[in-house]
Order: sequence, then C-alpha cells, then structure tokens
Amino acid sequence: MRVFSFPKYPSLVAAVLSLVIATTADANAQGQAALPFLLISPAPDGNSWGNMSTAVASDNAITMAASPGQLGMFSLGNNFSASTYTNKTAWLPAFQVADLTYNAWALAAGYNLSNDLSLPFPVGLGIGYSRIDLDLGTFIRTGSGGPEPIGTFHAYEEAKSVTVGVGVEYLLRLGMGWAFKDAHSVLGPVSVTDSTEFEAQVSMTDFGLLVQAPVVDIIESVRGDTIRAFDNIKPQVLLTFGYTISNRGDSVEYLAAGQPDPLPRNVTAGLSLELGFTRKIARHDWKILTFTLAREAEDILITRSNDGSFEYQSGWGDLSFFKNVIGGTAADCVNLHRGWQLNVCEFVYLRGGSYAEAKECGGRNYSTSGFALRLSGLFRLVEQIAPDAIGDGVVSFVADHIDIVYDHAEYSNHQFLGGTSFNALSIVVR
Amino acid sequence: MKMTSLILHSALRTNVIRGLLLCIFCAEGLSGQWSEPIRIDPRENYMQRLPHVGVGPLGNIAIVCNVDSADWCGLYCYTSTNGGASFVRGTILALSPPGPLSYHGGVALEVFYDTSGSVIMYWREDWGDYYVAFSSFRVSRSTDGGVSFTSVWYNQLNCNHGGSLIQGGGAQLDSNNRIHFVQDTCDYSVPPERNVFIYSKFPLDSSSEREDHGLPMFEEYFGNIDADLLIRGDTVHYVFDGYNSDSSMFYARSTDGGITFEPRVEVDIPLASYPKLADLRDNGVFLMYGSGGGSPGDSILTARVVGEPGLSPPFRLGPRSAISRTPKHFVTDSTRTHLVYVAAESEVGSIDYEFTDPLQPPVDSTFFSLHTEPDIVVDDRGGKYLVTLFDNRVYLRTKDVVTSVRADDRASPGEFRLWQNYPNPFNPKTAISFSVPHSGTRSRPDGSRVGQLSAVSQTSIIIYDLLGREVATLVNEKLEPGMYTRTWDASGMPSGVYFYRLRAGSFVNTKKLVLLR
Repeated sequence: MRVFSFPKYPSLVAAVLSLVIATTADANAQGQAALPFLLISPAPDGNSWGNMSTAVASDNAITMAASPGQLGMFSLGNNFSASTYTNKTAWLPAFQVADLTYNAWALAAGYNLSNDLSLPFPVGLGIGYSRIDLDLGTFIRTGSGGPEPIGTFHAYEEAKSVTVGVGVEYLLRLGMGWAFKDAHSVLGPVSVTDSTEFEAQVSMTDFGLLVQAPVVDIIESVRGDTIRAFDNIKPQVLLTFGYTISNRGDSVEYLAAGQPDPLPRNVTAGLSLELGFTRKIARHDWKILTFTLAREAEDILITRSNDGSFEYQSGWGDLSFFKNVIGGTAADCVNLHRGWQLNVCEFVYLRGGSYAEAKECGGRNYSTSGFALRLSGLFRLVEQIAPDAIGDGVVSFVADHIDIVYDHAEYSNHQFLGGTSFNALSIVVR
Repeated sequence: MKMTSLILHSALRTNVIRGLLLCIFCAEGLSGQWSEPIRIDPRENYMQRLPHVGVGPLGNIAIVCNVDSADWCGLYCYTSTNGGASFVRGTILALSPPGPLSYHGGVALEVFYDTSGSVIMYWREDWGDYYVAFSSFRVSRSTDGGVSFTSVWYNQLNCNHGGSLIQGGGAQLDSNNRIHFVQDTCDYSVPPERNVFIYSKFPLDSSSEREDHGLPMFEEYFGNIDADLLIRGDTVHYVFDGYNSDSSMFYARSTDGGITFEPRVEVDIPLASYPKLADLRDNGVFLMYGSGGGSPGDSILTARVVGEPGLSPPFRLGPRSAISRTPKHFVTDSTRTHLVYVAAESEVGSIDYEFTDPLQPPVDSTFFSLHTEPDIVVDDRGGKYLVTLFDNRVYLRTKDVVTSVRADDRASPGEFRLWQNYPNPFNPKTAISFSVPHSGTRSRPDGSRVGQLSAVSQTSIIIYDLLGREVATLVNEKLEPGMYTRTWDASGMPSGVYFYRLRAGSFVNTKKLVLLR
C-alpha cells in the first residue's frame, strides 16, 4: 500500500464527500413500494452479518451490485471478480411455497490507473454487471365468482444492473459507484381471454459511497515511521463509512392506465470498525486476526397515503446518522443492521449479526450468521508455514492473485425468514 | 291476484296438464347435457312467480321463490352448499298477514352473491288490494348464507292503479359490490298517465337500512315500459322499450360507472318482446329483442351489437322463426353464447342454444321445454344453473358444473380448508374463503393434515408482503364451524405478490395472491 504524506489533500476529500452526498440525496418517510424484491439484500457475505453491504468493503461482485461504492473501492486493488449463488435461495421458507426462489450472480472488473499512469495518487476504475432474479412461481388464477381455478400463470421479477465505479486513495480510501438498473416484473396474465402478461419495466439508478480510514497507516504517515511489534506485526484499525441510495426512478405501473406505485427508494448509511493485527509480508499486509463491528441504518424514502398516493422523501429521509447509526436505534421506520466478523488469517471468516425493523414499519427482527472460506488465505497460510510445500512460486502466486471464496449466510429467529440461506461461490483475480 | 293464482293452481294441478307438462319437461332437454331437474322444496306445492337464481363462491346456490298458498304468501330464499343436492330454506320475507282481504307478498327480481359471499336479494314487496297497490323495492342482504336477511335499502312507491304494474327492471352488482338497478314505476295519479323510469346505484357496505324516497327521475315515458341494464367494467348499458304505446326502443350508456349517461338512442322497430342486454365478452354487448309482426308469434329473435357509436344493423339470431316474451340470456365464455327464452310455438317452451359465431345462426342447438320463463346464471367456469317454475314447484337444472370444491366439505366441513382467493389477480378487493370444521374430525387417508378442533376454533388469517411483513389481519377470532369468506381491500397497497396465511389450532396454510394495478 502506498502511503502519502498527510497535509496535501484532506480538505479536498472532505469537499468531495460533502458534495457527493449532498447532490445525490434528492429525496425524505415511509411507505410501501412496488418491486419489494429490490429490498432483499443479495450480498452473500454481508447477509451473514446483519445484511451488511454498505459499511464494510467487499470484493464480492454481488455485494458491489447492492452497494455501488464497493466497486470503486474494489478497483483500487483488484482486477476481476465473479460471484454466483451455488443454489437458489428459497425465499420465505416457512411459507412452504416451494417455487419461490431468489438468485443472483455478478461480474466486476477493475483497474488501478496508477499502474500505468503517473498520478499523484492511485485512481481505480471499475465496471460491473449483475443480475438478480426472484422466481415467484406458479399462481392460480381465479375469477370473481369463486375460488375454482380457471388457469395458472407464472410470475417473476428480475433486475439487471450495470455499475461503474471510481476509487481514489489518498490517505483515505474513497470508492464511489453508480448503478444503472433495469427491473422487469411479470405478475400475471390480463384475463381469461387475453394472454398478454401484466408486466412492468422500469429503469432506476443507485449511488454508493465508501470511505475507509486506515488509522494506523495515517498515523504512520503523520509520524513518518512505522508501527510494528514482534515479528513484523502491525496493528490494524480500519474505520469505514458507507452510504448508498438505491432505486431512484419514477414509479411502476402494470397497466397502461394503472395506478402508479413508488419504487423502493431507500437510503443506507453505516459505519464499521475493524481491529486486529496484520503481518507485513513481502507484498501485502496479511490480516492475521481481525474483528470487525459494523452497523448500518436504512430508511425507505417514501411517504404514502391511504389512497395510494405517494411522495419520495428527500435527503436522508428519517435516517439520522447519530441517532440511528451511532446510537443504534431502530425507530421512525428506520431499520438497523448490526454485525460482527472474525477473520482468522484471511482464511476463515466467522460472522454474526441481526436485523431490526421498526415495529410500525414491519417489525421484522431476525438474527444472521455465517462464514466464509477463502483459498488465498489458505495458500498464504501454507506459504508462511511451508513455503516450498507445493512448488516454487505457485503458492505465492495463487495467494497474491487468485482467490476463490465460499460464502454461507443464514437467517434465524424469525417465523418466516428463519432458515433462509445464501450460498455463493466467488472468484477474485488481483 | 290471489284469485288468479288459485285458478291457475287448480288448473295446473289437474293430472292432464301435469302429465302433459311433465312429458314436455322431460323430453328433449335430457340429452345428457342438463342434469335431471331437482325439486327445490318437496314440501312446497304453492310456488308462484318466477324464481331467480344466483351462484356464489364455492358454487353456493341461492334461489328465491315466491310462495302463494291459499292461506298466506311470502318470499323464500333457498340455498345449497352442495351443488343443489339439498337446499336449506331461510326465513320467509314479506309474509302476508292473516285474513283474506289484504294482499301482501314478495316478488323476487334478482339474487346475487357479492364478493364477500353475502347473499344479496333485490325484490319487490307488494301489498294492497285489487284497487290500490303499493310497492316497495328492497335490497336485502344475508351474511349467514341465506338463512336470514336484513333490509339494507328500500324505496316505497304508491301506485293507485288496479293491480301492480310496477315491474322493476334489471339489476346487477358491479365489481365493487355496488348494486345498480333500473326501476319502472308509475304515476297514474296525475294525468297524463306516465311511467317514470329510475336508475340508481349504491354500495352495499352499510349495515343499517337506507331509505330512498323520491329517487330522481331518469327517464319518463307514456305507456308500459320495461328495462334492462348491463354493467361491463365502468360502462353501464341500459335499454327500455315503449312496447304498448309505439314501436320504439331506447338505448343509452354511461362510461363513468353510472354517473352520467350519454344521450339515448331511439330505435324504431316493432317489438314483440322486452329488450334484453347480453354480455358476449369478446364479441361485445348484444341488445336482443323479439321483432317482427304484430303478434308475438310472428316475431323473431333479433340482435344488435352495441358499437361505437350507436347500434349495428339488426340481424336475426337463431333458427327459430318466432319467439314471444322476454329472451333470457347468459354467457359462458368469449365464443359461446347460450340463450334461453320462451319459444312461440307452444308458449310453454324455450330453447337453449349455443353458437360459435354470433353473426351466424347457431350450429349446435339443443331444445327442451319449460313451463315458464326460466332464470339462468352461469358461474366463472361455465357452469349453468337454470331454475324454472313448473306445476307450482321450482326446479333446478345444472349443466357443465365443475365441483372441484367438494360439496360435502362446503356443507359440513370436516377439516380446515383455505381456498384460493378470488379473483386472482385482483384490484383492489379479493375474497378469501376458508372453512372451520366440526369437532371430532379424523385424519385423511392421504395423510394430509386435519385440524384438531373444538367446536369453536381460534382462527386467524393474516396477509404478508413479499418481505414477510404483516400488512393486514383479515380474521383473528374464535369461529364456529362452517364456511367463511372475508374480503381484503388492498386499496393503497402497491402492486405485487402477497401471502395469506390461515392459522387455526395446529393447522397452518399459506397461499399466494397478486395485486395488480
């Protein structure tokens, strides 16, 4: 990692942050929205620790789709990432609706321009593509006269996103990203005599921002020396702030003269703190043992009347950074994510968390747990223990450039969401 | 009227006429398509007037009959929850008071099931004597399956004229449970004599009786008139004729759900029967009437398609050369139309026929005879229910009725059941039916779950959204065994998939539904 001298650009970074947040937050209350599947977190890693996707950096391409700021951060140090669920997630398993499944896959590519260009600080560019599918299954069609089936139809919803991101590293690491998303929803045929599908197609955008403060690096930069102990062990203190506003667009209608429904525009802000130790090895800081605490708050930016009319809220809506994120309260229809992660040698990640929804706005509360296994961590461990075990250079090459990750996340302690699990396999090339 | 009834009773009770009618009744119609006639009430031998039939959720059947015995008269609603295998008779309405001099009775005009499963009866209450007649149009509702009715609306009309010439017109429920009707009333007290024609509509969401006097005049005409209406979406079609005074018929429509009507179209044509409107779905709305010669026997069934604007040229409908009286009609799907009307040849018959192209003569006709004009309804699956009055008894015949919901379950549920909501998809209201079983049920042979019950079961039905959030509670109470239907009004909710979940004792079942706007 490059370390730059402190004094030159801090005001610039602050100004960029303020400007970006101020100009992208265009709305503010609470209401039901169409296309609610867009509110399901697809992040296979974040879902294991409280549906975290904004306040912690991830190199998972699906998570980048959920929080575009991730892509900018990703582009600073990675070249490619692909992730897919290994099996479709059974959604709301307690309902025992067998044909209701959720699935996601994504690709992302990034490049750090400072590899080839002479720049005052590293700048990375990234681009990604993701797809999320909710198969709603087969529905029984009935007429107005009684419950006898008169037919069936298949309903589904999908979202495809193209994401671009930019990352900047100057003392702080800054990642920004914009996602351009098309959602397509097919919810049924028009009538007995008309097989035209009820469908809606709508475009929307997401914006995400991620800022990391590697505290020890900053101190080292200020002091002009390194902080080390024992066998080249370096303390790790990483503070991360994340912000995402999702699903910005107009409205959804299924009929030509139908009643428009709002998109599930929502804002998420979060903070995480990672503490631990890294070992300075030849090419990297190897995170030997770290523990991360994270918290995110989110608010849906819609006010809706009983007659169905609605307005989008501006700014952060009802979300208060200090009350909800710092204070950790779920109120005023602001929902709260809490999570933790224990990393051992970048090989094993254990995670847990919770999601709390304000009672007046759904009241869902559930726990999350999960783990991840990373090939690069295993190889790095082998490299450290037995450098010549596999072959000269092979282990270090794999450890440095190729990562295969398996993520598992599971929900519990909720009557309907309990038992929901996400399993994903990812490959990351650096 | 009572005297007339007695004379008719006497005549119809003779073995000769009875035998003749039975032969006709059982002849060609029993070609394997229509069921055997089911007598509604084996105890009752004094039924009069035209019975009316309605079909509701789960195939429940309601039949409204006028009973006019030598000692009393009134109106009964019979309901069946097992496809017509047996009927339950409800509380009598408009029961005549003791004594021979006064008259009091009820005339069924229409009977429906609304989307919540309530039985809605539109009827006329008559009283007075031969010289002075009073009538009150009423709408009554039963929330207990047709056993007891509560009056939710009425308007009283005074008609100082011999006999009751107040006809009542068509009535229909729209998808929002609003009843629309047209009424033909009279004002003979002030010369010149005239008929006043009233159109009205109101929602059936009130639990208390609503009285409407002095409804605004909608049309006025001199002479006898009769009218019909048909609702299709937000469009209300209505038609009335001037049968006795000249040869005109009038058609008009409202495209805003009956708030305003376009100027009426006059059709100058010799009428032989009252006009009727029929919804042929993809083939449009048909205006049908008997037209032709000066006597009913010379007329032919004629149709016009309601177009944009006005009406199409008339075309002959059907192979039979003559009809009389009023064509009764119903539709099954987009291509097949079934008509039943009284045929002219015998004055005691009718024809039921189907055709695939409305502009061509029918190619597949069946015929069987009836004593009187029948009433017919069709359910969403094409099942037909036909009631007739024959020899002072009311009979039901069915055709193409699908009974995938087990009749036994409906009548006496042995287990918890949750049916698919209807309609589905919906906007903004849908009905959800479920059953609470009697106690002492047993496990099914197929191993499916059977509720463990007491006579009263704590039952809940909760609606959840796609994210598993509770959005509505339809039921949360202790319920007696029986069939129930609840309506979910999703106004204000966004389009999308929802789940409804029945929980009662150890029984839990969840189904999906779709709200679409």
